[in-house]
Amino acid sequence: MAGGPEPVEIDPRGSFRDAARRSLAVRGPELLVHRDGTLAGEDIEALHQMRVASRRLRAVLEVYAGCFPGRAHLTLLRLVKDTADALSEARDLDVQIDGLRAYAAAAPVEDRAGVESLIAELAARRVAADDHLPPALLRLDKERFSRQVARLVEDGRR
Amino acid sequence: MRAHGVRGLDPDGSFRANAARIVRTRLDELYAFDPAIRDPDRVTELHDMRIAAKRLRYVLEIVGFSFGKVGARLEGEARWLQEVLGEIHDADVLVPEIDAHVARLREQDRVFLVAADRSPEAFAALPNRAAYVGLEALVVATTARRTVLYATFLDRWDTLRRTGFRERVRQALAKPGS
Repeated sequence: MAGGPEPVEIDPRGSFRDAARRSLAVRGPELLVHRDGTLAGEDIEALHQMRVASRRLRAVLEVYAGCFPGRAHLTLLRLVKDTADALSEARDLDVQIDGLRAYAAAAPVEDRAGVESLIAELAARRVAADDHLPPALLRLDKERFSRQVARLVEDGRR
Repeated sequence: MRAHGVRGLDPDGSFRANAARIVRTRLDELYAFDPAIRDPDRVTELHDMRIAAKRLRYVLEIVGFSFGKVGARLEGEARWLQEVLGEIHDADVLVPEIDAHVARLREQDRVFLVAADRSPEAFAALPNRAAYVGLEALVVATTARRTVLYATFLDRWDTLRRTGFRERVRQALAKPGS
């Protein structure tokens, strides 16, 4: 996904409903591509990619909201939003810590102790954020995310 | 910031007609933050405009292809706005974060000094003495960067307005089969 999202084949002259189904069928499964890497916690890029996938899927669910049955759509949208929130908490801290490390590396030596004390505090918060990730990501299994997506794609035909 | 509902969408209608309605609504949302964002201290409005730019960008990632070059150009502008406003927001978040951190360090030092009966030796050996200067400099560097980012943002935003970008996009959206 690094070079942009996988294209979805959509006929601009076709119906909006048809585009909704096609988009969800592609963007839904993409959410799970980097889940194992994110859970392993060894590569911050996996977390980043999963967050991007969650944003794209959320956008599809919002743009095409009217094309899916209300209740099932809302249930899935809520699950995706909650997943995205858990990913964002960790990702935002990763970005903040990276930025401060780069700043500290270029700063005068006498300035570094202060910046590093702030980094240490943010890093402690990042560890806590890691604790929130597994429950959020395991919820995708518990609430049968893939099945919800498949059903919505199917229901979108009507 | 809640997104405005898009009126008149028809799931069985054409993709392009529905897409145009959504893009128009998200575009109007973005422009609604002007003139508030002309005040650099309107932190909330600048943040909300970032969210509006993000929504527009993600909508265009999905539907932009059906508007050809105008769709691609608008997506590029939305992405740029999202990124620059995101960096401004990062600065707006970081400065209070630093202030709160300094307050905690001060409190630790105060407790340390009281416990040491405020001796000159303890005062010279405050645990966080070396941290203050770097954190103060970080605030200065962050606010200076924010000033430059805001000027860059406003300059480009004004260029978009001056060159009638919104009107051209709206015209393209209104064309059947554009």
